[in-house]
Amino acid sequence: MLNMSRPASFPRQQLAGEFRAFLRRRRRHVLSLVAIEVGLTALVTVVLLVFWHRGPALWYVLGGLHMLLVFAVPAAIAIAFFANSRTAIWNLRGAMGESNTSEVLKAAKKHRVVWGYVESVAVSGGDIDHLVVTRAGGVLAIDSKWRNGVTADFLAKLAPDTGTLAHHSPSRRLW
Amino acid sequence: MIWGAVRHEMPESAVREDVEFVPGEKLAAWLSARNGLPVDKSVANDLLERLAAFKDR
Repeated sequence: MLNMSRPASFPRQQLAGEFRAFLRRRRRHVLSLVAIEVGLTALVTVVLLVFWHRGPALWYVLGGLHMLLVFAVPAAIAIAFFANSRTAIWNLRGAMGESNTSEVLKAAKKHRVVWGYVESVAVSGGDIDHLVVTRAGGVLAIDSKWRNGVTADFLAKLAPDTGTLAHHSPSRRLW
Repeated sequence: MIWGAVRHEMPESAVREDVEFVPGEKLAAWLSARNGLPVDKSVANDLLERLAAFKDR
């Protein structure tokens, strides 16, 4: 699960920046959408209150409709954002991959498999997602990727970049 | 560390140019299986502090 309250990793920063830029670019559309949603909510509320017989079902339906309309706007904005951005989905996947790895590392620390870890360490040429100090395996540099397909080419292209980042890891100098 | 649908298609251990590719759901087991260089608690704490300082520099 993606937790946006974590210290911002590179893909998370990119995603947040892209989203802010999208909101600035589409400010009029977003404001129109919010205005329509507020108007629609008010209209539905009045119609139900006037024409539906008073009773527990009315409040249940009214609450359900309000909740639906309140969630519809952020959902519509998110869909429009991802549909209009070429890179947002990549950054979202990157952030989700890093977040999943963080969850596993947190559990590994709790179960005394690793001593600890540092997230998102900027080095020359990029960003190391996690530097992990293990109990019985030295220090590991972990890069997380989210992919829905893999080929030998993909691994062959990824390996040198990841190896270069690990080579620039500060743990090589600090230990 | 590979997450996403592809992690189910990953072989148990894929290594290219000294980089090991591990499916996300195997990470915990993979970490538990490390049996290389032991790291003392004091060394680990010192290193983690210095890595955190390096990150915040």
